[in-house]
Amino acid sequence: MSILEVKDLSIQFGGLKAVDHFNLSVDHNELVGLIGPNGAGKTTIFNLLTGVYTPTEGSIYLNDVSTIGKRPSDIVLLGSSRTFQNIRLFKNMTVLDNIKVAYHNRMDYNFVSSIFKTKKYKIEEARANEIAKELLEVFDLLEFKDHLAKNLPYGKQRKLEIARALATNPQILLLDEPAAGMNPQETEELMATIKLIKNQFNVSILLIEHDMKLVMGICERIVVIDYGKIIAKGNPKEIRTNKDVIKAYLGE
Amino acid sequence: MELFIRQLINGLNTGSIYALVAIGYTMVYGIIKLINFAHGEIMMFGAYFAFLFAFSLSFQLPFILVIVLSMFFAALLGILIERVAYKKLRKAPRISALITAIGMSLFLQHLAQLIFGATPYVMKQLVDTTPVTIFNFDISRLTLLTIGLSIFFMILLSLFVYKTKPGKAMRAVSQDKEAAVLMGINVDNIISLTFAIGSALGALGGIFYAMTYSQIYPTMGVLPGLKAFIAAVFGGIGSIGGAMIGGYLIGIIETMTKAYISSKWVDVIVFGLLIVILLFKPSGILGKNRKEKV
Amino acid sequence: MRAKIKNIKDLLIDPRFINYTIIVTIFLVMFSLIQFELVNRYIYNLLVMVLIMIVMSTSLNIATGFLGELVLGHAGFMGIGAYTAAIIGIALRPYIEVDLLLFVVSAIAAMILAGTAGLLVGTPALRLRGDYLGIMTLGFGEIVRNLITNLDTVTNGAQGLAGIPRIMTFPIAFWTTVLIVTTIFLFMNSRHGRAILSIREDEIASESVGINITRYKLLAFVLASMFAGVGGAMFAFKEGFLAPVSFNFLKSVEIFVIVVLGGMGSLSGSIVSSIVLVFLPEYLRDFKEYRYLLYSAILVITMLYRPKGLMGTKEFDFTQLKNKITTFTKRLKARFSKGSDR
Ligand SMILES: Nc1ncnc2c1ncn2[C@@H]1O[C@H](COP(=O)(O)OP(=O)(O)OP(=O)(O)O)[C@@H](O)[C@H]1O
Ligand SMILES: [Mg+2]
Repeated sequence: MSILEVKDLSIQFGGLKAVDHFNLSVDHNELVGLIGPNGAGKTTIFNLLTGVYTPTEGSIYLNDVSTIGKRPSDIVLLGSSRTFQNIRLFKNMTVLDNIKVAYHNRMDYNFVSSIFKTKKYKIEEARANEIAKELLEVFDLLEFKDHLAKNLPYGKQRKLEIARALATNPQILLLDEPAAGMNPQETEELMATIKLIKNQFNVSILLIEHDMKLVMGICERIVVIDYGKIIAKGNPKEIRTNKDVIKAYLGE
Repeated sequence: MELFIRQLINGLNTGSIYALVAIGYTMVYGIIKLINFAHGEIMMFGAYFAFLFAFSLSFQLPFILVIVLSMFFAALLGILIERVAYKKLRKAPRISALITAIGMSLFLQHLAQLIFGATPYVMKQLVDTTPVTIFNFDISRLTLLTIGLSIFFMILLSLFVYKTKPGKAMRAVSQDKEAAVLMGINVDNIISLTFAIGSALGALGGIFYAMTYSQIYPTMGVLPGLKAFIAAVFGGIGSIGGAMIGGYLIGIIETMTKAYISSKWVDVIVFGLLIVILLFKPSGILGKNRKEKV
Repeated sequence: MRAKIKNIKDLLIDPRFINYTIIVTIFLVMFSLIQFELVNRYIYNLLVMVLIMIVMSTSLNIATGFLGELVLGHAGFMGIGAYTAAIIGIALRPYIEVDLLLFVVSAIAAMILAGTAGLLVGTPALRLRGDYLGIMTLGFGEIVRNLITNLDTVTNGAQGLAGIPRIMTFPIAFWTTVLIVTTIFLFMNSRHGRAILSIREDEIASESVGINITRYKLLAFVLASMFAGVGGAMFAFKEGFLAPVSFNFLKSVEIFVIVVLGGMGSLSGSIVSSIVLVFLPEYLRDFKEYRYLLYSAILVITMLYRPKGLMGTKEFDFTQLKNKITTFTKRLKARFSKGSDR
């Protein structure tokens, strides 16, 4: 069954067609790579999928529910979650609280409970703490739980952002260049983490990445776009030898 | 009809003042994205400068020299404020810069109070106020002078911004600071220049304001400052032409409200208008919309 | 999770217990000072004023410190609350003899009306960002002041509203303040509070993890205006007389300055800076002319050299103080023993 179903997705910025009739279908627990040269429209596709931008044309279905016109926060409730190309953490909040914010909608107590510190409040907060810690454990971040997010080293910030995205309990995870700015060793580690997430959390992953080694190494299927249009799709082997792809990357 | 035309002329008079002051807001905002709350105080200091040059010297300076000297000193004050208070905060969060601007505004008000005292100075007329008759209308010379000189300076400004090299540099900086640096433009100097021009025009507005209401006092810049700011928002903040149009519109709306509704409701209507603009077209008449990139 | 309290010793080191004890102690000390007339009328009034400014600044802190939005019209909400409470207080005085009850009834009305105004302004205004929101709230504040002046049949206009029962005693003011500050504190430590903080940190990221930012911005804004309404009610019953000028732009700025100097996002910062900024000017009376000059200079200098205010976003906690003292003594001891080794 497909989690995400995208048909003819397009958006126009003034005269620029940043995304042009983009089609994609992602199955349960699949890992799909989305690649393309700089400015190809990859991040824009994420912004469309998460409701940051409204498409000028096309449809998006998440678990058979249309997301068009829905606000980003509601689309999260439908089961998708993302990270950003330029890390966007809650910098002045602790690592633990970063996760707990994402856990917001899975907690169930109201305004009044929080002021009277009712039993429900305490139970829910305790549960959130536990789950957040478990999640941090998976990403080797537990020892930093009381640090402010801004004080983490770069690689760990990337990890925290992925952990935060997972805390919303998504069925599909959208990762925008998670390896950007990482050294080869960190990238290696990240590859392992992504595989781990896929298996342990049973999610589908859509991955934007420039690091070809990473993409070719872990993606089952790859979609290549250039100037907003799909120019190739297939498994890593097919993509590596595709003429159009080579041309797009090397230029004419 | 006669009343209407008379009010229209009054509106143009007030509007000229707002337009002059609004230009300062809009230029500064365009270049460093800061609402310079202290601009109303520059206006006030401009008026005090004019008072000093006109009445405290042992000899009588010609009117035009009074104006030019006051504008010059206001320009220096503007540059000083930017260098002392704002420069350090260019990369700081917007809210810090804004708080600084509010602080600067209060500081200048109380500085003026300390120097000149809280009691208003009476601004004796600097020009001949006998009315002239144009098409059967008696119009005060002061009104004519205000409108005329304002328009003159606005034309001068437009020529400067669009025809001269520093003017072009100024526009470049307001569009893209990094690119401007790469092109070899000295951004610091351009920002100072912007403050200087904005402040000089603000001072001119302050002088006319003081002459129209014949009073100068430390908090005189607050209300016209706010209204000029509304004018800048109305016209589209960042756009010089917008500030002029906005200034005249606010001036006319204000005088018409006074004439046909009640002077009690002027501020409610002008501030209400601000809210309506912000809600329906925050980019104003000539402004552009910008969205944050993700 | 905290350990269950089993015996007295556990109770004594329980942070909640320590904080409560300290609040009650402060109250008892102040109250006995007043009872034994060791505090004159003048200081008494200043104390109540401090409490009012604490309510005003901690409430503004919700919108400006925690949510991170620039609100320049807080005095407008205070004015709405003040006039509502005053008018109701005057009307109900003949029927309600108990001061506390009269205050509670009027303050609730003030809270509801100010909150409604907050909802009406906030719903459209919060679509705007940064300076624009600031300007819009500034405009709102000016409109409120003008309306109060112009609707003279209800408010007695610029001449001012007199004859308000002066029922704002220190105990009522104190416990109202404690109630409000505690509520804000507990609220900010809930999932709702975290959601609000996350909006300040990064709106887009906040939405991306499922926070309905419109709803939480509005919630923060309305809460801030509701408590400002209570602050207004306290002010009305303290002064016994209200005039529109008390709620002008300068008042909004004054409250704003308290929040900024205390540290945006720190309730204890707001409390400390309320105390300082109410008392300091009184002791600077001899320098009356320089007072506001100093004030504004401090504001600018703070922004330039300590933009996060006195406390930053941190909270001052008596239990932390205890920890600090223990670590300090430990260090001292360590140094001492090292010294004696030599
Ligand atoms: N909000 C916007 N307004 C106007 N143009 C935009 C906007 N967002 C993106 N674009 C344009 O759309 C195109 C695609 O941008 P996008 O960020 O999606 O590229 P990308 O594939 O993610 O590139 P990179 O690998 O550099 O991250 C670019 O030309 C960009 O300038
Ligand atoms: Mg991108």
